[in-house]
Amino acid sequence: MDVTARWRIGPKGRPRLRYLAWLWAIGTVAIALVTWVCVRLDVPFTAAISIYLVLIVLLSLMDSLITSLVFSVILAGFLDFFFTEPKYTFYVDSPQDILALITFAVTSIVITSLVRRLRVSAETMRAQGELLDLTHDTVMTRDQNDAITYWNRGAEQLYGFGREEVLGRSSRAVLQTVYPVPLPDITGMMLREGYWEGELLNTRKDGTRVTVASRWSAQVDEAGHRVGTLETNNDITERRRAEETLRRSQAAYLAEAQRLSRTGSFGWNTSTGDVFWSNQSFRIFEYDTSATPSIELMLQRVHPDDAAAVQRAFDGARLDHLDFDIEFRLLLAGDAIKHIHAVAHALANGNGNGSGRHQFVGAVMDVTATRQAEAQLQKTQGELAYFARVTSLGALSSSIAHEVNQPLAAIVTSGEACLRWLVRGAEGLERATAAVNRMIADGRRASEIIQRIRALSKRTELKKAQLGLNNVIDEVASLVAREVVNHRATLTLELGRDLPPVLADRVQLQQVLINLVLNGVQAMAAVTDRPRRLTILSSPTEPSGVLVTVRDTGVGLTAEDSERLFQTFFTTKPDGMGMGLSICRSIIEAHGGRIWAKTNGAEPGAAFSFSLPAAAQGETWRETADL
Amino acid sequence: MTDRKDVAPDDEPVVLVVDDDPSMRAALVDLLLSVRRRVETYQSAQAFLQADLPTAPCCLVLDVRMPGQSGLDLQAELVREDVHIPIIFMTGHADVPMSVQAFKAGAVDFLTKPFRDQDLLDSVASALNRAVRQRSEEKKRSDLRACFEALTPREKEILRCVAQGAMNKQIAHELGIAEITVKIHRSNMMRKMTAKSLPDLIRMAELLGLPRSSDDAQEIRTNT
Repeated sequence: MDVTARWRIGPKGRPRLRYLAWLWAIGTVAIALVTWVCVRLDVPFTAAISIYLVLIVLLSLMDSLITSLVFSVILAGFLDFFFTEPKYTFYVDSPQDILALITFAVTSIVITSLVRRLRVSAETMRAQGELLDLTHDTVMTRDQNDAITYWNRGAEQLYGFGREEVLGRSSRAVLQTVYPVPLPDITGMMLREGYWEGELLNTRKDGTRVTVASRWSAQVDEAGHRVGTLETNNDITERRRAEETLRRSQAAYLAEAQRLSRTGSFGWNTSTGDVFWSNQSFRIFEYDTSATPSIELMLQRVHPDDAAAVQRAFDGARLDHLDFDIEFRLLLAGDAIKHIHAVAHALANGNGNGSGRHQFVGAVMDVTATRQAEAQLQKTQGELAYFARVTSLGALSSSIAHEVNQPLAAIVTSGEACLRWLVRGAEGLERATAAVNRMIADGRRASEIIQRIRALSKRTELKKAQLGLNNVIDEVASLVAREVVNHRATLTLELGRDLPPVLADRVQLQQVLINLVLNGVQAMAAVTDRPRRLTILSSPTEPSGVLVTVRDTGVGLTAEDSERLFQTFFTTKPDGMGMGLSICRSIIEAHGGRIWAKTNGAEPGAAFSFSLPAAAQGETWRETADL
Repeated sequence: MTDRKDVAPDDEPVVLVVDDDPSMRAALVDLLLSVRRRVETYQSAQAFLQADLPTAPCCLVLDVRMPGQSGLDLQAELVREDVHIPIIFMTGHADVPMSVQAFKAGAVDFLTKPFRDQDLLDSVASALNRAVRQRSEEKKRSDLRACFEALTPREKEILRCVAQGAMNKQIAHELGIAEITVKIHRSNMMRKMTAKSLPDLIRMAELLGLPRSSDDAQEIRTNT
């Protein structure tokens, strides 16, 4: 401890010199006086030692190590001179006297040092004690009974209680402290760790409350026993208030944003079942904010058709800690329907292994407007496709009529033949039976064609199912074959094997194919110098999908045409509307595929191709519900 | 591919059915068989043209609209090849120009599907009759031709002149021979030609394609 080097005790600088001068003066006078008295009274040697020691003590209290040491030496000298035999000389006769002198010198030096050290310690402590009063933080100490033993100026200023008012009283009582956790927990921690920090709510003398960040340290004695607690507090009321305001304004922004975006937030503790809803969530589910949010309340509003799926998602979250992202409908008062998109994920817990993931946080979004718009768009597209289909069907009508008439005529003729065979009796029975069987088969054939026409001319909504594309191509071929023949062309099918099924609307795909075939036929209408061949090819594609190409030997495409072909209102026909190919594109793209055209290169004509992705295992699509 | 039905004597008339629709073909065959007609079928015009025609008298039951060559095209082809088979047309939908074209090219009938069975059978009967008649006429013609070829050149000349209506005296003058010679040649010629009378002979001359007047003579000479 080199406080001696650090601390100049007492006044410093010029006053110090004056002080030292006084010290010397007084010291000298005192020494002279005492010595004269002792010599006069002929005080014995031992008594003189004691008296001089007292003097040294007194002098050393006056703060200057050097001075004291000098005086010690002087007094030792005086002792030697005035009180040891022979007197008035510096000689010393008996060795015991020498010993006594030495003892005196040592003692006085020791005393001087000790006193000095004491003074220095006291000063240090006082200076440090002053520091405690400089800080704005409150510093207090309490003993084992919670009685206040120290109360700094900061505490006086913050709490308004003077030192004298609080010393010895319980701090808890004085400040009416509100602890954030039960007090036993705090004391327990103090016992274990010797340390605690947290926020407290105290009350000032004037009754206002103040929030403080508090740190406690245990005071122990040398044996390690608790003797008290040191507590420092830091006023964070203002900070808290500012944070609170910020949070409130942020909360206000958040609430407003939630309202704007029709998104509500929610929290769910799956182990306790507690649920939190933001105000927007209440609004979405149409409950009053006074209601206690819960999973059951949410489920009550879910549309019965979607209840199972929603329940599955919640169970997954509760039992397996799985995040979810689901869309479902709410059935509300007055049979109103809302479309909801809910996402939630588990908050990662400290141990990171997922087993403690009970706390879910999520958002519910009201996507009704979006879904309605989508449905409307789909409906409009469906209408447009329908009209295009009907137009195509109109173009095909004579071929279709012929196609239906064939089996009907065959039925009539077979029937007439049958009657003639029956007249013959037993010999004609076998042939009559054969004739009737032919009639049945032909009747079915005609009926199928009619059904396909009906399907194409119906104003249906999108209805996707798993289809074999070769099947669809065959059906279309039977409808367009006659038309192709009428235009003096041949239709060839080159269908690949093992095509994966696609998820698509049958009628719409047929529409695309019919459109492409009719286009091909028209492209070949002016061709006279080469055979008119229309080929439909199908094959699987990598990684998983189907490619269909309709190739003709017609007039082909220019590079410019290829780019604009699929644009709405673009047509190369004088009386064309330019709708067909753009509708084809929107149909194919709605099915997740691509459609394109290119010339056949060295050979004349063009090829129109489209690709569709394969259906995923077990994938189905429900019909869009009416909104 | 032809369907071989009952084996019959070669002059039993045959109905040749050409239609690309299998059901219709089967129904027609059945119908014709039920009235004991002999039938052959072909699934396209090309198939028909590539096949050998039966030697018996036959008629054609033909669909107008077929892939590749249509029925009307086939008719034109047959006309070009100078093959005279009576044709009955069938069609799913007829329009006037089509039927006019067919009849102008010599069709026997033009039926719209579905037709009454009796209509078809009547047409077939009529067509086959025509075929038979054609054949017998053809036979007669070839017989006559044989007879004609057996005539001496002089007799041929006499025949030509008589067919033009010349009297014996004129013929004698024209050819620079005696009238009696003309009479003898004429008598021989009539006998060889088995003509019983002058009108008979003139009919034969017509059948042979000999000109009735000297105007046609030019044409005949260039054609024979």
